[in-house]
Amino acid sequence: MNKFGEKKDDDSESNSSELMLINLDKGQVIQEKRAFNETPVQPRKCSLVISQFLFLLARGDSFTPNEATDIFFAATKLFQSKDIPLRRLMYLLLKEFSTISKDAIIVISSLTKDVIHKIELYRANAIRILCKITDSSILPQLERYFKQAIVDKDPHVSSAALVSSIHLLKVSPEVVKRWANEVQESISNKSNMVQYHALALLHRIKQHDRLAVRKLVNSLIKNSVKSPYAQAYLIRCAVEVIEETHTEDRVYFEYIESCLRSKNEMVAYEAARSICSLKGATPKEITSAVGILQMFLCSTKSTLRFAAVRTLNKLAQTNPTAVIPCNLDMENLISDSNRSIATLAITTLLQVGNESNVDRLIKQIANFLGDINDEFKIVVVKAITNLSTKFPKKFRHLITFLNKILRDEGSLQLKQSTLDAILYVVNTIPDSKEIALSELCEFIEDCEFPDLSVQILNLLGQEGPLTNTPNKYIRYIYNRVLLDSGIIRAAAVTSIAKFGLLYEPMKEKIMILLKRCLLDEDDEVRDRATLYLSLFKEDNKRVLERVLIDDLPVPTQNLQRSLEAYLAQDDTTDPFDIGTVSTVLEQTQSPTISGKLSQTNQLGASSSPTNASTPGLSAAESVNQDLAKLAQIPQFATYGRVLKSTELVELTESESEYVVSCVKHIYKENIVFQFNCTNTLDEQRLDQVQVKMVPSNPKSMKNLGFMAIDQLKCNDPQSCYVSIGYNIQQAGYPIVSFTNTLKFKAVDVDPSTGEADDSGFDDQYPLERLEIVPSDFIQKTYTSNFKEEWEKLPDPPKPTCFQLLGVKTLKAATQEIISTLGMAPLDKTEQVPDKSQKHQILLSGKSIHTGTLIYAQARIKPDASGSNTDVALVVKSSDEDLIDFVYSAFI
Amino acid sequence: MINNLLITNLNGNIVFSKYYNILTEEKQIEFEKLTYQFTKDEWSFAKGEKHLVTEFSGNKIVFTNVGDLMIFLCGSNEYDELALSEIIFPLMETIKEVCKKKGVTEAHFIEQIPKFVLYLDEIIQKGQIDQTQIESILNYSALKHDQPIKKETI
Repeated sequence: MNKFGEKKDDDSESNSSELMLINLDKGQVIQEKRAFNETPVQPRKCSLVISQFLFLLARGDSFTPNEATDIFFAATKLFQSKDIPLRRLMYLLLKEFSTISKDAIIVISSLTKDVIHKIELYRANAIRILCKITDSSILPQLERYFKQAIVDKDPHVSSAALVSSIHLLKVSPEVVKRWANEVQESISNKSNMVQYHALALLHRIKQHDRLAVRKLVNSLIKNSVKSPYAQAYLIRCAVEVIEETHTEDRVYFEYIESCLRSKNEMVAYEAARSICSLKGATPKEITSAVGILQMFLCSTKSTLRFAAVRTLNKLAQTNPTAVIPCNLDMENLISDSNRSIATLAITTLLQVGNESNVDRLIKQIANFLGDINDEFKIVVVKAITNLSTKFPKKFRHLITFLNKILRDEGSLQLKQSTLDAILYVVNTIPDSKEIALSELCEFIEDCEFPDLSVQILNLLGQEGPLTNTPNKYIRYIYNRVLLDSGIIRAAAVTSIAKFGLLYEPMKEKIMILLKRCLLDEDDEVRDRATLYLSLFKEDNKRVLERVLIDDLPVPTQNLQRSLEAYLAQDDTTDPFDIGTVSTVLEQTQSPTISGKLSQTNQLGASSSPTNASTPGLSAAESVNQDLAKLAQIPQFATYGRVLKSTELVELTESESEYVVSCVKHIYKENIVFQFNCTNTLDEQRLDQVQVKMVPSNPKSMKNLGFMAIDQLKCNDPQSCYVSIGYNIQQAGYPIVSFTNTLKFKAVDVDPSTGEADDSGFDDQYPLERLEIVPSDFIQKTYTSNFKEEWEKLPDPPKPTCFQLLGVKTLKAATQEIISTLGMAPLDKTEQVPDKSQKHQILLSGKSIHTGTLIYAQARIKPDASGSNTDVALVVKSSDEDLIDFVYSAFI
Repeated sequence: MINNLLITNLNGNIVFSKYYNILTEEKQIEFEKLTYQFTKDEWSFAKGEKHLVTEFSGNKIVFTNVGDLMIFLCGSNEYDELALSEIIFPLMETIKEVCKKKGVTEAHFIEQIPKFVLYLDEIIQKGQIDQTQIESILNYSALKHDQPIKKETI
C-alpha cells in the first residue's frame, strides 16, 4: 500500500477523502518502479508510478546517477506496452531522466523504431528524446530519421523535429546543416507553427553566411509567409540584413512597413518596433510606426500597451519629437493599473515633456503616486531628477513633488533616493535652496529615519547661513537638540555652530545655544558643544573653519576603505596619502523597470543599494582586486610598485555583445593596460582573447607584450593585459593614443547544456580609442594655501590659450579640464555658479614619479559662437618637462 | 529564450516552478523575490485572466491569474511580452483542463502536476516554444484512461 499524505491546510477546505501527492517519499516511489517489470504491463498502475516520479521531479527532488539509471532502464521495459497514454508518460519520464542517467544511448534502437511508427504521438516524442540523448558521434547514423521527420505530414511531428534540430545545431552544426533542403521544404508547410520553426531553424543554419541569409529573406518576403510567428521572425531577419549589410535596398524597409498593416498584433508590433530601432528609417516610416504604437496604447491588453509604451520610451531617447503625437494617450496610461506600464509612461512623458506642460504633468503624476509601490517610485524620482537639469526654472514644482514623496509613507531606500534627488536639485539650481530648505525643516520635525535627519541637518548648516533669512532655520534645528536622540543632537549642534561661523550677526545667540548643550547627557554632543564654544570664545576662525567647513576632499566611504586597506598591508613605512583615494563615488544599481544593467548578469541585480553585490564593487575595492591580480602575474613582477591606477574607461557601449573597459596601471617605466572583458552572448565562448593596440606615435614607447584570456565564457568577466615601456629621461612623456581591436576565436556553445562545439573561427571587434593623458601621471594633492604656493613659483611668459571644441557650458568645460589633468580642484572651484559668464579653476597635483608639485590655473569662458569654450591655462611647476606634458594634453 | 515558469498560490507561495535557463539556487530565490516585489500590488488586477506585465534586469514577465493560482512566465530577447502572452494562453487553458473537474484550486493543481507537466512538455521544449494550439496540445497529451489515477491502489 502506498500511503499518500493528506495535506493539512487550514486555509482550504480540503476534503479528507482527497489523496495528496505532497508527502510522497522518494525511496518508496523508487521501490514501486518494479511495477514496470510485471508482465503483462498494467497501464494504470505504471502510469501512476510515472506520475509520482514526475511529481517528485517537479517538486525539486534530485536523483543520483545510479538511481536515475535504474529508473531509466526499468522504464524502457514499457516500450512493450501498446497503451498510448502510458507510452506518452514513459517518453516524458525517459526524457527527464536521460540527462542524469548513464548509458542512455541504449534506448536509441527502440526509439528509432518509434520514429517510424504509424502513431504520430510516438514519432514526435521519440524524436524529442533522441535529441536529448544523441551526441555528435551518433547523430550521423540517425540523420535519415530526422530528415524524414522534418518533412513529416503531421505538423506535430514536423514541429517536434524542427525544434529538436534547433537544439541539435549546437551539438553538431555540420550534420544539421545538411538538412537545409528538408527544412526549406517545410517552410511552405500549411501549419503556422511548422512554418515558424522551419524559418527559425533555417535562419540559424545560415546565420554565419550573410549572403545566404539575405537570399533567404529575399525569397520569403516575396512569397508572403502566412504564419504570424514566422512573419514576426522574418521581420527580425530583415532587420538583421539591413543592419549587417548596410544595404541601400529599400525592399526590406518596404516589407517591414507592409507588415505594419498586418491584422495580427504581434506582427504589426514587431514591424513598428523594428522601424523605431533602425537608424535608416525615414521620418515617414517612423510616423506610421508610431501611429500603430499609438493605437496599441489604447488596447485592452496590458501586454500590448506595455510593448507599445516600452518601444516609445526607447524611441524617446533618440528621437523625442517623434513620440509627441502619443502624449495624450500616454497621459491616460499614468493611472494604468499595471504599474510597469504607468511607470514607463511617466518616464517617457517626462523625457519628451517641454517647458509648458511639465508642471501639469508633475501634478498629474503626483495625484496617482499613492497607488504605486516603492520600486516604481524610485524610477519616477530618478526621472524627475533628470528634469531639473532640463528645466531648471521649474524647481518649485520639482521640490514640492519630491517633498511629497519624502513625507508620504515609504521605505528608507525610497526616501534616501528622494533626499539624494533633492540634494541634487539644490546643488544644481541655487534658486531652489530656500524653498527646499524650508520644506526639509518641516520634514525633520517628524522624520522616522535618523540617517536622513543627520543628512538634512548637515545640509541646513551648510546652506542655511548663506540664505537671506538664516534666523528662521535655527528654531527647527534647535528643536532637534531638545527632542531627538544623541546622534541627531550631535549633528544639530554642529549645524548650529556653522550658523555662528558663517553668519556673523547671529554669533552671540549661537553661543548662548551652545552653552545650553554643555549639560547634554550624550558625550558626543557635549564634546562638540564644548569645542565649538571655546573656539568661538577665542574667536579662532581659522580652526573653526577647518573643523566645520572643510570637507574631506574624497568620499568618506572610499577613504574608509583605503584606510582599512592601508592598515591591512604589512608595510606601513610610507605615510598614507589621501591623494591615492579614489574620488569616484560607488554606484550600486537597483533593478529598474527599464533596467539595462550595465553588468549583463541578468538576474544578479541587487535589490537594495546597501547590498553591495559584485556588480556594485566600489571603485576602490575593484582597484584593490585588480592590483592583487596584477601582483600574481610574474611577467609584471619586475616592474616594481604600481604608482597609480587610473579610473575605468569604457571602450564599448555597455549594451554591446562584448563589453570591454580599461584600467591603466602606471609603473615607473611601464604601463600595463588591463582590459576587463565580458562576453554577453550565451551561445558563444571566446578563446585566446587579447586586445591589439596600435599606437599613434610608436617612437615614444616600446611594446613589451601581452597576456591573453584563455577562455571567456558568457557573463564571466576576465581581464587580459598589454604592457608597454616608456622612459621619461630619454624619450619624454609618452604622448600617444591607441587604436584598439579585440581579437579572439569565437566558439559556439549550447546555452542550455554549456557544451562547446570544438571548431571556432577567428574574429575581431573594434573598440574605442584610448589615450595617455597627463592625469595618468599626476596625483591629486590638497593644499589649503594655493595663493602662497602659486606665487612662490616663477611666472611663465604668458598663459597658453586654446579652445575646447564642442564644449558648450562652463560646467562641462570645468569637468573636462579637471578629468584630463587629474589634479585636485581647490577652493570649491569645481563648482560653477549659475549664470556666470566666466570661471576660474584652481588645481593642484604632483608627479607620481618625482613627487614634484604642479599647480594650474585655468580661466574659461564661452567663445562668441557659444558652441565652444575658450581656455587660458597657466601651469606652474619646477619640472619643465611636466609642464610641457600637461600643455600637450590640450594642444 | 523562455527563462522560467512559476506558478504560485494567491499568497505567493510557489506551487510549481520550472527553470529553462541555468541558474543557481540563490539566483532563483533572488529572482523569485524580485518578481514578487515587482508584481504583488497588482495581483488583484490580474483577475479575470488578464495578462499583466513587468520588466526588470532585462527579464520580461507576463503574469496572470487563474482560479486560485498566479502564473508567471519570464522570457528575454526574442521572447518579448507579446510572445509570452501568446504562450501563457495555452498554459492557462491546460491548467483549467487538468483541474476541470473541481475548479482551479491549489490542492487540485498540485495533484494534477504530473498531467500538467505532460502538457507543458508539448508547449515549451528546452526554453523554446513548440506548440501553442490548445487543441493540438490536448490531443497529443490526452490520457485516454482519463480517470484520476490517484484513486488506484497498488
